[in-house]
Amino acid sequence: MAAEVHLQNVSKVYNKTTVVIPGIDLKLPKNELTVFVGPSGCGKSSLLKLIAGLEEVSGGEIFIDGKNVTHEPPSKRGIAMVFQSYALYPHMSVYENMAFALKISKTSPAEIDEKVRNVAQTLKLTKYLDRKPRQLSGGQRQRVAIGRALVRNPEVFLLDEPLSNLDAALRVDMRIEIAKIREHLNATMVYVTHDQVEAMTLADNIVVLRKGHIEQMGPPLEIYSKPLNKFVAGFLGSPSMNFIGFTVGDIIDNNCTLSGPGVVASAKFKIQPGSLKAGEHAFIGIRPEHIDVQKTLDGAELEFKTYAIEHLGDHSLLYGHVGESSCVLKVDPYTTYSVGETLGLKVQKQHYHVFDKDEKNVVDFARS
Amino acid sequence: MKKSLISRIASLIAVIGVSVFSLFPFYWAIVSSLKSPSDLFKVEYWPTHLEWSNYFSIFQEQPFGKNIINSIIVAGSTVILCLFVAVLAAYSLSRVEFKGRSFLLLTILAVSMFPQVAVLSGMFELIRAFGLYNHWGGLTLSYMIFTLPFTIWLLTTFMRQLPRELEQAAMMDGASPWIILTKVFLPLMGPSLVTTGLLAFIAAWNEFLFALTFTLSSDARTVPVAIGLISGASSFESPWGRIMAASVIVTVPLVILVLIFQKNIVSGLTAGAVKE
Repeated sequence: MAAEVHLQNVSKVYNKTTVVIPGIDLKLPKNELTVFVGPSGCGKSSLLKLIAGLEEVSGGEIFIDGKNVTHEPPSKRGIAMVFQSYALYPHMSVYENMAFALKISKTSPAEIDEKVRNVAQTLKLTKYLDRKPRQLSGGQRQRVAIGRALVRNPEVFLLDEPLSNLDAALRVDMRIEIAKIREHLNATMVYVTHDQVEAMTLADNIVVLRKGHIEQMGPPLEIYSKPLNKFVAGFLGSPSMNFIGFTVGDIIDNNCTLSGPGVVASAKFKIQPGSLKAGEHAFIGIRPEHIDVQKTLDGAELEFKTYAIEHLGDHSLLYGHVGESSCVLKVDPYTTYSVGETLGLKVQKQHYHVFDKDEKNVVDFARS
Repeated sequence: MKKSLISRIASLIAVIGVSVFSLFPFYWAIVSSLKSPSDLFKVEYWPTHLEWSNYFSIFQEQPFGKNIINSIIVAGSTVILCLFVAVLAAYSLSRVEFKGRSFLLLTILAVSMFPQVAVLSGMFELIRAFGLYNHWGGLTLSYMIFTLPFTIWLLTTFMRQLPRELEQAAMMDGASPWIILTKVFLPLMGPSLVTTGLLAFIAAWNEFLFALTFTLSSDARTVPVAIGLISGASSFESPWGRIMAASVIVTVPLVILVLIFQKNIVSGLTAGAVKE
């Protein structure tokens, strides 16, 4: 029953002047979970509301399962939605909450009962069917909200930051639970979040948005390892990627060297032909876990000055500077480091990125 | 924080002072209603002997029972009609985007700024034209003038505080605006409906000027007018005892109503003042 969602040049403008989404073309594959991710104000929630039909598009068209639904009301689109605040009906019991949509669509009471009880069982809510939402915990309310959407057997299932109101431990549980529900569910899912961990763990496809533009779209690991620009590179991953500013030195055979404060002896970085010029300012991007740390500067490429250390048990984080750029390192917790110490760094050869002055990733991905 | 003895005594005195000031007129009305006409002008703070004749005579010398029923019908129908219109208006004013919405809200408020006397003659012509003169329907209709503005404003403010996502969830579930209003919003608005309904009831129950102007026969009068027109058996007899007795009779139902709904009123009046 899953359906493909197709947005064609969809735009949204508020009050004739505030452009939230300038025009997006997007195909969400059937039966896959797509995550919209981006900082607040990037238009991800607006995009979801446009798909849901809760807001009218300013331009463009929306197709669900090949049908043009641009001007259909939400209930005629075969979609269900889970809201950030759950939006349960406070005066109705869990059962009534889940049965509400079916009652409106004039489903027979026997069928309503069967569907509600089935969904309640999947979500382990059978015990709570007679309770009111205020008598439930946050996690249970979230499950009711999901259940209310599931009973309608939607073709497209929209989730708007469903876990952001839960505390950290519960969030992990619910994340796994949503992943489990997904296996049973035959629906195209769209999931909006600003949490990159949720995006990485749940998604088949991630759409990274900024200011209403799609910055990159693809499977999580591809986006993680091959970000197209500095924004995407910095958004996914925690702690986020280090960007070290430098001046481009020689370029020989599309291998560039770099110079600048903090550079001890430059390695060669493979870049796309013609992308950088000698003397230009650019950034090298390295994730904290992709840097080898040594106690001396002998044979090191970069010089790192430590100014803070965080011990997290399974690893430690060193905060410091390379030249004028701040930099975080993920290191073994059992080696002793001290604040103020100068360390030598080596960049792992398969994991670096190079960003030009327009923030575009110009590394040659066949670098290894 | 422990208060000193002096400040506690001072606040006690203040409380007693305010209570006496606000309750004394009502107490005096009760005491006066229990006096015989000849005792009326003797100053007694405590009734020495109870004289119930005032309470019987108001029902005998005039159709006071009929007047009470009129008042109940007028105030009751005002509340029902007013809440019905106000709920519908509040829904569109708080939830539907349309041009000139805030202008409309201000206009509604402006209506309540006119003094009653200013609209009296125009209203009189309207009532006559509708054929509602000397009929309770005319009063119900004219009372809308002052009850609707504040009920619409109160309910609009309250409805605005209901979360937007709740409405969107209902829309996703396929609910029409009518179902959203009746099945989702109204059940959540109980306290505010009671509060606004009660305020409208009190306003309609106590109204005097329209009731005096738009009724003619004593059978069609409402209670405030009937009380105002109570006269003595002769011009030398002052009817204060009976006026007070009638006043006590019509005030008691209001006091009882307010006490019954006390909890709702408080939660309705302060609803949304602080985030829950």
